[in-house]
Amino acid sequence: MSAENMMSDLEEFRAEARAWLEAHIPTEHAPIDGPESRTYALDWQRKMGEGGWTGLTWPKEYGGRALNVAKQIVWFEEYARAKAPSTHDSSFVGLNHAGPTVMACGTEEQKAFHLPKLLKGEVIWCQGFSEPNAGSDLAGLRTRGVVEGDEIVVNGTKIWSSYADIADWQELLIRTDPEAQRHSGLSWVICKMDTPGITVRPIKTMAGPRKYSEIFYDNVRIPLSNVVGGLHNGWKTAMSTFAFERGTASLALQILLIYKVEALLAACPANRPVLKDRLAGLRAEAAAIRAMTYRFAIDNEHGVPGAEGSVIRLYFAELSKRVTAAAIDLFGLAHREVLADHGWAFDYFDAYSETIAGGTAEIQRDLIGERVLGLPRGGR
Amino acid sequence: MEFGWTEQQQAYRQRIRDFLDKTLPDDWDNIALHGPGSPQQTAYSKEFCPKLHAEGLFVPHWPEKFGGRGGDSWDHFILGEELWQVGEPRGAQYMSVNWIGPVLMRYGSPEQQAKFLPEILGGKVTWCQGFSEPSAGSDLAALRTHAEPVEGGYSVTGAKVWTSYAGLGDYCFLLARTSSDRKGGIVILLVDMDSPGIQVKDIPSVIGRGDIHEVFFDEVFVPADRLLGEIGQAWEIINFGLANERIGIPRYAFSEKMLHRAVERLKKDGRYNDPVIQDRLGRVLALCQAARLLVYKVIDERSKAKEPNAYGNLARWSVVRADQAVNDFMTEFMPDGLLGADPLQTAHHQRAIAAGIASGAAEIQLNLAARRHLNLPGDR
Amino acid sequence: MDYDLNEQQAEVLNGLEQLIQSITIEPPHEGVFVAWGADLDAKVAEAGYYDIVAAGLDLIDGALVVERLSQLPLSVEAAISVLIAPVTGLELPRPFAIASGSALAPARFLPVAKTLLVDQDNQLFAIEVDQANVETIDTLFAYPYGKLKSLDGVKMTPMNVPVADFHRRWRISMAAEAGGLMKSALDLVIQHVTDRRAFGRPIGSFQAVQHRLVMAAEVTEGVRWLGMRAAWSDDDADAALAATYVQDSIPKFCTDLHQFCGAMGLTLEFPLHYYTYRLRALLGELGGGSGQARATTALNWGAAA
Repeated sequence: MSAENMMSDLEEFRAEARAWLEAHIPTEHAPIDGPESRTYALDWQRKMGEGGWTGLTWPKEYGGRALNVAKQIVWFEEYARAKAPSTHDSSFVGLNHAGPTVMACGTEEQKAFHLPKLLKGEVIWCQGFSEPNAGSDLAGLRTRGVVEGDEIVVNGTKIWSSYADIADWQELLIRTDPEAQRHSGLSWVICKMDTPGITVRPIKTMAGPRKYSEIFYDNVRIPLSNVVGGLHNGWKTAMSTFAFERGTASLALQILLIYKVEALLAACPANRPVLKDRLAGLRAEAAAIRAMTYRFAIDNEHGVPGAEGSVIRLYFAELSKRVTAAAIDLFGLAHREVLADHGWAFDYFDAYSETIAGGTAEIQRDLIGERVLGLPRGGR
Repeated sequence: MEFGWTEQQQAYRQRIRDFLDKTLPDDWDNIALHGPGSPQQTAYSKEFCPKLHAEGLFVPHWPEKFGGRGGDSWDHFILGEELWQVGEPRGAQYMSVNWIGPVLMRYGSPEQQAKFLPEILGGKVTWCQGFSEPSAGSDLAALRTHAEPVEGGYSVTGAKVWTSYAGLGDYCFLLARTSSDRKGGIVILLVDMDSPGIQVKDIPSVIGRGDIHEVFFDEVFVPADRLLGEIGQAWEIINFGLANERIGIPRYAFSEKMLHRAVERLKKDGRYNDPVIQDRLGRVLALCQAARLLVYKVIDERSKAKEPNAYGNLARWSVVRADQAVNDFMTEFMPDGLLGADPLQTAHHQRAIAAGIASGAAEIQLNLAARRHLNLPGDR
Repeated sequence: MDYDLNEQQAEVLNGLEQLIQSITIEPPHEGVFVAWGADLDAKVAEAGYYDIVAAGLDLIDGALVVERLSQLPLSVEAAISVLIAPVTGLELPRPFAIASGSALAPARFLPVAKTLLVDQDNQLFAIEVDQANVETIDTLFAYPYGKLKSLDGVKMTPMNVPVADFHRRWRISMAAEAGGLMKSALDLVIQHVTDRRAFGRPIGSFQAVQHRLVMAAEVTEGVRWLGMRAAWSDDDADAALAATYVQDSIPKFCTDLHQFCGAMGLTLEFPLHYYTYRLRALLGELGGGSGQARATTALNWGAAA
């Protein structure tokens, strides 16, 4: 396709996306937690699926459209422009890192069973990696899985799992070979959340909603066929999950950021020149992130994203904190833009978790130093 | 708890200012711009220091028996502020009166005291500090310069680097080792810089001429009576000296002075009303004042004869941060000052960019403050 | 210049310490955003600590009291009573709330206050608070917040004192309060990183953590000494300078401290937010960091022409 044809093809796609979004954006705001938020997220996902707007880059055999990443980007641009519901909702884990991990490392049966369900808006996934004593140091995890016949029997505790209270499935990382040390002997398994023996305790956070949970496993039996990427080979599978989580998962959010900053700039009154100066600086940074994001998405269109994703992920997380702080300075404490359910205060407190979830900023910096800059590995 | 100056202290400060007004030549700013170790400033310091001493303002903090006035730490520090903020007309000699003299008073033999202290008081000699080596900078105890015991003294072979003021120095306060014992094997030698076998190489730098050098020692004979203190005592002496040196230079005073000069120019140029400039000015002034008050806490303890502690490392860090913030402000908003409009700004710039490196890298200060002030754990 | 407590200061603080030790301070209920210590506030009032400046002790003695009280996980209304309200020269009923710009603006402590002090159009007013006219704001910040529903029938009594005096004391109180909050937050996090292990060692042993904690300690000290100097001199420029530094320091301080506590620090089960969320609330007062910074510039070098 010539460059000219490609552009007109993209613009046609853009017009289509814009028209569909204008006609279908939900009028109600998303509930922030609980079963209502699940219903809302799945309804919206289903509606997008019916319109052909889910799984744009996923293969056709799993219900996707096998489009190129440029179209994915155009869709997210239009999505942001239309102020469509946040993609950082309960569908996030399934669509952006659990699904892609199953696609990259799973068996044909696993892919055929799980992927279409995600795109059709039938299931919610959650993560089960961190433990009370294994966060940044994930390889220190202790939740045990003992193979008994064609099942794995799981005992232990997971924590900081978003939306676990309303999820159907979980990407669960456990220690299956007790003899092996740290990174070896782990397995990445698909866990059905209504299996007997699972207890979920929601945790209240500063952001308000009961977004996180602690999960207890008491002799939970998971079919051996649910292991993704091979028994005892879970660290490698988990690294794929992280590559997606740190690489391409936040594409939509990274594109959205600049629209949010522009809205702040537009709302900033002329008699606050210092704030305007600050917002203009943030606008420039958001543009830098957008440019880095596009480059990275295009370079990593196929396969598992590279470590450069951490640079963008980290920058995005830290910039998000500064943007949300500027928003609160702009509007003041009691403004509805701040206090509303999905207002800036919520974003502000949520941004705190951005430098912690998926590997803390400190871990990300270590990885960037070692894998992107080629610095010597330090003591960790 | 109170934060005022006594009438006596105010009068003393005024006396220094009056003396400087009447003593510094009209083209002083153009001398200061070359840096304390430059030929220009070194030459001027030999004219200036004897006058300062005649006024009783060279070593007011030294005990009377060594030619001082028995003043307290505040007398010493007020003097330092007033001199550093005009660009340090004592040139490299500030080092002799700040810590080399006091170290000799505490650890020197009567013969060493009788020789070196009157020479310092004469205001015509400069000392250089032979500490860092190509493979021992922040990690000072890794130094390798070797002092071989020979008949009547030591034969020194090795290389020093970043040595301030070596080019025109008369003496070197030299660290060398007689054994491989990391700290216990170090000795301090008071070396004549015109000894055969010493070669000094000026390192051109962005921090002013004559400020940093390489010094090579090739079987340099140092008589036994030039050993300072006892064998095994060197590390203690170094720490005593460094504690005085670390909080020796009142950099924040020069930085604040630059802000005052900046405001004069901003008003003249009609730029003072710019709200973004007003915002930045207030913030950097606050950093300077905070650094000042942290340093004053150290001086308060010193004046009460408390042992030096890690608060000094903390204070030193705040001084570095303030110095750099002012320098960034000046470079961003007053670039013409570095292009000829204000020679003293160039002088400040050159001193500020070395602030985080000279006399112990800022990271070392942070390490020490973490371990000894906050009592954070070691890595086991 | 003397950084140690004098006899009077030591006596005031020792007395306060004994009082604090004699009170059982119930930790706030899990999951509560606002940790208002009604009982604690009443006991401190009864012991007379809120009146010490009005009663003739030095302003810096009052600042020390405010600093100590703000180290507690529960908030009490100390800063306004001790440091700000005395400028009115009147004995007004406490607890106080304060606001700037408009009597209808959200005001810290309003849902528990008897008197609201507010400057409007360059005039300071005192308003007797009728709680029926107060709308509590459902806030994420750890102080109680509210605003007046309307000004109908509300009597605004003009105070015979320049607004600059009100702002000066407000800024001094901001620093005294922030100093205490920062100290407690820092102590809590130092304990956490000392106990918590990862990769086979305490996380507080990593340089990436140590260096930023030292920077947090640096600003904690800076806030303390600039604040205490301002309380000692009661000078407009010193006060603006201290408040500038406070608000300039808060964002990084809070962000880093939460960062070192990981996901645990984001939960309401971990007490860090009782300190950081009060600091966050102070960040926006009197026009935020930029407001204080420009006031500092104006007070040191003259107002913009």
